[in-house]
Amino acid sequence: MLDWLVAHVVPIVFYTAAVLVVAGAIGVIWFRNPIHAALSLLATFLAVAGLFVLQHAEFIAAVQIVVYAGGVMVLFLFVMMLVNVRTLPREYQYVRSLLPAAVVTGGFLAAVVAAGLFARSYLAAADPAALTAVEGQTMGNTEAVGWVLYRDFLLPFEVVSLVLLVAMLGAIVMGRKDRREEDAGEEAR
Amino acid sequence: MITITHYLVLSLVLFTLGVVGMVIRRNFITLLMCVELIINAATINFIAFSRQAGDVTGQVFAVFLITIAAAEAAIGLGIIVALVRLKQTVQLDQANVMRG
Amino acid sequence: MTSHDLLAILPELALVLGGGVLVLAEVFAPSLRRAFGPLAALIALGAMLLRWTVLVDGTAFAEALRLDELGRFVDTYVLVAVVLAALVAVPYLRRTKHEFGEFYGLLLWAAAGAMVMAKTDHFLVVFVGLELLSIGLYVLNAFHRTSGISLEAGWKYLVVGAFAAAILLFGIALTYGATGTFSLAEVAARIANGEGLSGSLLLAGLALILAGFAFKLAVVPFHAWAPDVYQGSPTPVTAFLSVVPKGAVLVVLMRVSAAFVPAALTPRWLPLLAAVAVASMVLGNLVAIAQRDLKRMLAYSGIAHMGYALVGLVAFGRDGLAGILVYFAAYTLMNIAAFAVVAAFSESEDEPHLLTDLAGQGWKRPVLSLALSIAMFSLAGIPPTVGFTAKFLVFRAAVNEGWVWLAVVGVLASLVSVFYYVRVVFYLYMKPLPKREPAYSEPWSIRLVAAGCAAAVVALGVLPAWLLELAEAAAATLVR
Repeated sequence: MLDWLVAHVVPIVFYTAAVLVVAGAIGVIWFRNPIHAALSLLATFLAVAGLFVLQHAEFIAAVQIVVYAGGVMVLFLFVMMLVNVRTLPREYQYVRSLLPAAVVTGGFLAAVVAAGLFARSYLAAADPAALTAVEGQTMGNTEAVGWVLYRDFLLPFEVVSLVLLVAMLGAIVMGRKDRREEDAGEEAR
Repeated sequence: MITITHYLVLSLVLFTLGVVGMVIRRNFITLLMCVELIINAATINFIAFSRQAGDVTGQVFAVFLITIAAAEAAIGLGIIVALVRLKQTVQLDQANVMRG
Repeated sequence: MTSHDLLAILPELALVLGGGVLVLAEVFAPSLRRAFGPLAALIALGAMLLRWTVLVDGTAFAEALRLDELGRFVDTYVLVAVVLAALVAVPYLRRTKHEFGEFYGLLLWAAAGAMVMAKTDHFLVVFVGLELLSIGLYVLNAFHRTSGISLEAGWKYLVVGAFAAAILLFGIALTYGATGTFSLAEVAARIANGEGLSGSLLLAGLALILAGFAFKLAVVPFHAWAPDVYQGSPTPVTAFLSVVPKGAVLVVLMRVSAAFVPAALTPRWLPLLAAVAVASMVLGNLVAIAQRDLKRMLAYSGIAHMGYALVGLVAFGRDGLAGILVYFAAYTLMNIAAFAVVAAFSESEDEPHLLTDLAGQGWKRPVLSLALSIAMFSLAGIPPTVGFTAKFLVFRAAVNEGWVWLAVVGVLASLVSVFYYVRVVFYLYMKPLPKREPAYSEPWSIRLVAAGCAAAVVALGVLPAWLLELAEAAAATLVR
């Protein structure tokens, strides 16, 4: 039994995580209560992090948990508390006009699956050791990512810091009180 | 044996579920969650191909992707807060006034 | 990072720091608010000056950034659009009581994103730059946040933008899977060497990249968001949104095509592009006829214009690419002139900008009306405007490359478009003033932008040699 488990650990973990990912995603669209949907989304995030570990991306798995489960999820829940939405009335279709785009994209994606199935025959997986090596020496996945990030991708790193600044400023602009109220306050003084 | 195809199919299923959610749900917050689903689907691709090619660059791309997804969520939720203040609603049909 | 790298991004640094100063000034020197708009325009002009005086060539930041004639051309039109949008924004923000430094800060930062994106051949940098541009624009769309339609525009652009980004990412991931690299230069090298590439995976990836970019270009069938977002956004943002992301994305598509087209992919890639171009030209122009709201009409006209620009991409070659670049210079000038005047001819920003609002304004407000008429003639492609030059170049390139039917469709579509463009001029000059005269204001900055753009449209239409030379030098960096 134990031998069988050890021999099949990768497929077992993959299918468990895959089922969780899909079940979580279905939950997101199924639940009417957005809090339930958010918790369901959390399951998807965590299962995706599991898949990352399986793919020798330990650092990304940690980032996925810290940023999504720790940051984005809290943000979602916080906004739900703020705007206080629990249940939703009857629903019908959103942006019907986007349907042609969705159909075309669906066609493309079907082609992707076909391409993927086809690719399987001649794409052999590379040695995963490269994912933990820095200049030929085995260090660890975090070091390898950090090395490439700061050596080759300094410019996008700086641009992305600006993206975060824009996001912060945007959230402030969106959440600020009306200027007219402020002006009224200033004039009253 | 779990191959690249398994990951591609899984990511496609996740993407499709996200798009289906975007089409059938009219709640702002759920829509934003569906956006997160499709971005996660894309991240799975990068990690899988990074493993396939034995190249850590794909993982670096994923770091950027996760950061930007978080920024997008922050902006989206900011707009939701402003909309709720203005309209006292989170239903799209009530905020949707432009037609034609 | 070396001093070479810093010199290479000097204009972007100027924009980023300038934007930061404006955001801080909002807090520490709010009494200067009136000067923010002109200041933002000055910062953009300064960045343009830096781009053309500090000439750095080659690559920077470990080949993440590629500095060439093409990059300088793109930067110039992005910065021109920033200058014009900042000036158009001054009266708009005052009228809606949203005169905040953040607006200009976000505008400058978004422009920096567009500039980075258009100067690289690395997909990661393209993506990051595109997101800086897009996230800045989500906020700018929704900036008039006491207006329902502005928030709706921001929301719709965000949902569609995130969807488009995800499709683009799928495409990039598949291309990476097929080639093992994110760098276009390396992809091209590997294709040239005929290394064991997965053709079907590459083609699927390429198709998805095209679809993702098609959203940003708002071409059929990925155009559905454009009219709503154009109508709802603050007009200066609409002006910026209608030219800068499209220009930057088209340049990236040019670089992608240059890397891929010589490969065996060509026979499947070009008919796809041609089909998208035809659908956009036909549908954009036909639906525009039915529009009563000017901003929506300009949205559909924008869809058609991206179709014309794609004709240049189908033709490819040095002439086709130079044609696209001239097209963008022309489109920037005439489109922003049109939006600037449309913004002035309305009493309230929440109301639709109806065609009937223009009735009889022709003789009453001669400067704005003449500028709008020139912009309309140029959009319709009537000589001697730069709009004609641009269309001529693109269609000639298509004919020379053997795409005669495509050029014929393009010419027929632009004949249809003359109807709705000239209808605007008809309303301006031939319709009587309404009984209750509308109280439009004519701020100096709008008059400056409208007159400047109209003058440039005519001047470049009569003497296109200078622009053409720049565009050809830029195109030569991709195609020899």
